[in-house]
Amino acid sequence: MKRALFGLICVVLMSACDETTMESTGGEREYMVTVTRPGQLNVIDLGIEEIVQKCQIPDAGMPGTAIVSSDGSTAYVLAGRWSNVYGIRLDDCEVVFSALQSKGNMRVISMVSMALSPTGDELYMHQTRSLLKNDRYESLPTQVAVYKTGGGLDAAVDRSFASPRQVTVMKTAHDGTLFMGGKDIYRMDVQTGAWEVALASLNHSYRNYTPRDVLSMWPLGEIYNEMFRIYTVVKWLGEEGDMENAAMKMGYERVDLKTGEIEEREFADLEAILFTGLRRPGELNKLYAVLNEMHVFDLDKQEVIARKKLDHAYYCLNFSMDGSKVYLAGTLSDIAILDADSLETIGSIEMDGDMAAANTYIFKRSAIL
Amino acid sequence: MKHLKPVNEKAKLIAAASTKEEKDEVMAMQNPIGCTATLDPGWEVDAFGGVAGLCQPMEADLYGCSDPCWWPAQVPDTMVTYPDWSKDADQVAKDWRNLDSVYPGEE
Repeated sequence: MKRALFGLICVVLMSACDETTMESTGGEREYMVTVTRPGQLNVIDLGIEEIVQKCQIPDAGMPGTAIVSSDGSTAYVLAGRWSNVYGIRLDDCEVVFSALQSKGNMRVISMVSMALSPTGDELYMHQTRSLLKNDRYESLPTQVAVYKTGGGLDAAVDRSFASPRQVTVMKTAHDGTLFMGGKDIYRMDVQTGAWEVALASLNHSYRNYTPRDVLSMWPLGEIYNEMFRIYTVVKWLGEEGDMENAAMKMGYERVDLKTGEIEEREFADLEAILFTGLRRPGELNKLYAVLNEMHVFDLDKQEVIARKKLDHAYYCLNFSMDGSKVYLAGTLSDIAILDADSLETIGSIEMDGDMAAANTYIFKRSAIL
Repeated sequence: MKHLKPVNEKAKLIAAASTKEEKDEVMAMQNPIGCTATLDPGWEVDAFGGVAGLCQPMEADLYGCSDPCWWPAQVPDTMVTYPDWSKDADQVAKDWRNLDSVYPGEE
């Protein structure tokens, strides 16, 4: 609403509006959505670094994983304590879609895992299902459920397919293939349900390495159409199991969603616990990663080239689309804005509640007034 | 296990299962049962055996861990039994005093 009022003032006092403000009345602008407690979807105009829309989620907001349709019109939020999905129109905050996954004595949980088709007409949910019987609980096979986003409120499942267990983040490639990040990265044909391992992670076959450890809680990489996650691993330099003669390493796993290309790369020694990392747009040889500190890695040199101390831990790192700014989010109620070159803190966006495990999702669209 | 001998039917089943390496039979059950069924020990130290790698301050990590049941023992089960435990503490760094103990059977 504040943004709408500001736009109205600009119309009346056109001469008082600067170039940045003029841009907001036409053309595309860069936005970020993120969810805060207790159940608020925040839309942030990254040009002015202010919240321009606060939408109430009709449920407990957590975990607050949010993705946005490719036309930038609607955010889909996983809420209701990992169980329900709401599609919220960003222009007016109207809830235009919901999927209440648990029915009767069937409890359904989705651990972050949701994705939209490239056209935005289908929503894919990875469902961990349990049947609550009178005398026992029964774990059912996990599945990918497909919803039509035009299905309205309390939408029904259009079709479903058996899937691997323990899937967290999911992304859809431009050709419609669904990539699922779990113990390994899987690819699924969402028409037939056929799936296969696209990248073996926990179950890789490389000698002299332990299985990889991946914290895959945040769907990262939307600004350059990637699925991206970092991993840690122990490399045995001597006998397997000899920790006195071993190296702890970090690497990343990446799916190019434009081409379906898979990449995996070891990039540094593990010297600090870091939860999320991304390559910098425009300088893909640099990887920024964060938790208690932000580290910048040179991927070719395989070393840390800069470290930034932070006020507190942040889970989730993201970039402006031109790579000039870093956004640190998650955990508490502020988003830190850093200059990607100097690593100086150049701004902060304060919100009404904590983000906790919520992600940030950055996209472009016409101005929200 | 070589020093343990199963003496009843349940123990025999467990012993038999543990030797067959049927790892696919192990399935996550914490979702319907709640956080107390989650076993995630070792959170008190980081991967290096110290504490520097743990989120700082701990308030920054509280909801990110308790919402998905990663802190099973230290806080009430907000997924199932105490969903409103944190309702008066949306900004935990400021509101942490509103987080209280819970007791079985209380409203």
